[in-house]
Amino acid sequence: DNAGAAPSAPSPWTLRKPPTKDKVIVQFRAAGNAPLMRQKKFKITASEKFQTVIEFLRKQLKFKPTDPLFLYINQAFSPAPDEIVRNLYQCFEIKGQLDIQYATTPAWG
Amino acid sequence: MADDREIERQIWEGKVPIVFNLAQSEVTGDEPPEPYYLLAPRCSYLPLVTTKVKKHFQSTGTDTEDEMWFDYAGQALKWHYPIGVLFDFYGSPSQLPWSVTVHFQGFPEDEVLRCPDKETVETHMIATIKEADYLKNGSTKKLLAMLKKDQKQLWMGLKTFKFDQFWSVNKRLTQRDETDPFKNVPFRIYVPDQPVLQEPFPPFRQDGSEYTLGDLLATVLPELFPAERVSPFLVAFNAAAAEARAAEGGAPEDVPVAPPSSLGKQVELPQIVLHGISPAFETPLLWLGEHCCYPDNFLHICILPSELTA
Repeated sequence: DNAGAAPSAPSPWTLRKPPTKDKVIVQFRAAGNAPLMRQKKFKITASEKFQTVIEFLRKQLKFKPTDPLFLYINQAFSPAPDEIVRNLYQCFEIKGQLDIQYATTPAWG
Repeated sequence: MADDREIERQIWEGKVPIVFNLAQSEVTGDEPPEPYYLLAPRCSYLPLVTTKVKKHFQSTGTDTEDEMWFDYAGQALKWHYPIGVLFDFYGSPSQLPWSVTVHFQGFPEDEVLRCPDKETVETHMIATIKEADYLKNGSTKKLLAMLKKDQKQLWMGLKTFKFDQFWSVNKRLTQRDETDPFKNVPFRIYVPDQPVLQEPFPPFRQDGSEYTLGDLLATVLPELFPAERVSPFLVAFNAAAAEARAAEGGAPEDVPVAPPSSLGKQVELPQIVLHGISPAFETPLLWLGEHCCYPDNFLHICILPSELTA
């Protein structure tokens, strides 16, 4: 977010922290044979751990704790459950949302 | 440069002397079992080096009913942080060996991830390398371009702790590519009583010069590291931006400047600890990322109150 940059500044990058959002949009996409969701976009509190996202998705899918579920960001990697949603959003958001794929077998592991 | 390869080797060889004691509450006999001493590699993970610790306490008749976990002074230790990060953040070089308490009961589910086997460490390490790769390249192309056997070599190099085995593959992930430079330098910054900081941060300025550690800290932690103390670039940048804005008739207060320092010049800056040492603020960030990253390809930087480490 370069909104505050002076036009003729020596760099387009303002060296300023991006405005911190309280909530971020995550979009879930099923991969492989994973069950689809009717609603795919949710607002998640930015200060939560990724674990909260995992538990939220399990609830939405009505999965038992033992049912296998694998989550990925940008079809690339699985964050650790204690990573902060805000950090993941700042680093990996695309077009203002955090894209999360879910699968019942390892997909991009 | 050959000299820089030597830095990677020296970092790899860094070790922490640890003494493991069984938690008082889990002692079953009249006497607590003998402690277990270990020189643990900073770049490794607790589950990879504590098999013998577990065997030792099992052999003394300890009731090892649950997964082994560790704490230091009541602080549960996350096994998925490198040992060097745990020591730099919680321990102190003035108190050696580092006294770590061993538990086989009351696993702290909320604080520590389960680690039933070494494959869990492998999965975590490869996932973190992928995350770093994504930050550096905007995709995991470097790792995906790697043969499965090379990925395996990364893991085996770490598991058996062989420098050449690990770094001969890892250098392909960490070395800069002149034609396709990194987008970001992957870092995690640990500050007491705060969530871990991780943000995208580019290695190069607009004019092609390199950002420094001071630029990074003044940007992500301006309250702790005022630009005027650590980042001449940021001060000049802000001044130029203010001038440009003023020349256009804009109000100077609209210009984004680093917040005024809450720390007077006489106040000690917090300590920065990376692999047990304090790098200079003018160190180029990209150089740190290439040579001083942990095996998971992240720079793990601990920020500590100055009085604790002074």
